[in-house]
Amino acid sequence: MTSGAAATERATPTRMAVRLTSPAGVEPVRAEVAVDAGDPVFAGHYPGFPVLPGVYLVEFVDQAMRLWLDGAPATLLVVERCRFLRPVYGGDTVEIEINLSRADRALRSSASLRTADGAVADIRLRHDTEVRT
Amino acid sequence: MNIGQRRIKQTIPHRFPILLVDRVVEVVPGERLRALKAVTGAEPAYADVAQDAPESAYAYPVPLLIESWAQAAVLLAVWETPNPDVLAGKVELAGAINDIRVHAPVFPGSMVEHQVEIVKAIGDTSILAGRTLCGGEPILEVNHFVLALRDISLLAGPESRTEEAQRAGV
Repeated sequence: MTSGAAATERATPTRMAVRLTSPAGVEPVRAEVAVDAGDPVFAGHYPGFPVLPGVYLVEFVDQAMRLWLDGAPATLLVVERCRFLRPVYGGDTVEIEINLSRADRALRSSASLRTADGAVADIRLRHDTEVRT
Repeated sequence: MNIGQRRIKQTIPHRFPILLVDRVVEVVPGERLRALKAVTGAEPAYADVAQDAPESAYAYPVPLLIESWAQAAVLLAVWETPNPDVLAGKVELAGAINDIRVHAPVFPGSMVEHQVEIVKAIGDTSILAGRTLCGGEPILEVNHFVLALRDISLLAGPESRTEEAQRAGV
């Protein structure tokens, strides 16, 4: 692991950590993550051509939602849509803007992700926000 | 049928630590494929989980489960035209994944089975769908995965950042 290996609250594909850049409770949610060129994933995706796996962008939106919910329960139930527009490379900073909508216990997030080169993905997720037993 | 790592690595470019298909148990080229993945506590995803974390913290990350299914989909799409080295050929890029339903978590010790079908293939673009089962129960449904093979020379590429990374010694 590339970090100082602080303990994580749950299993996660990467130590790259999203941070919120908008105040708590404010919508749209804004967040960003620095894509670490030294992350171990790049050795295997792909040898000689390191490009971030698209699913890592799903992880980043999920992380942003969990931060925004600040410990409230959230189970990822549906990936409604992921549209990948452009590859993301090590060294990029991914900026995330998320609009929220609610229906019963479901929280829908509609995220636009961009780097300095432009839009990289549109991702829509649905989380269940009640505790599952 | 029991096809292992050697043929898998001869077919797709994904490598450790993100090669997430262990074995192919059925393949009908151009039509369907079934593959296995064992989830184990020795995977990097579990390296730093806190000592006092609850059992639920050990749910296998959904993005990795999706990646694993998608690798099974890539295996099917290129089974007869292997593409094990992106620098020598084309790069697999997920164009879109829509309508994925997560039915249940899986934990270390689980063997999951990915089932993939080709819905449509047009030139270098394939549309695939399928599901993942664990103990016969569906845990993931993927209804629309668009996979595109793109000539690597058409991409801007990470060259400049790679050089920086090399200078930094990583």
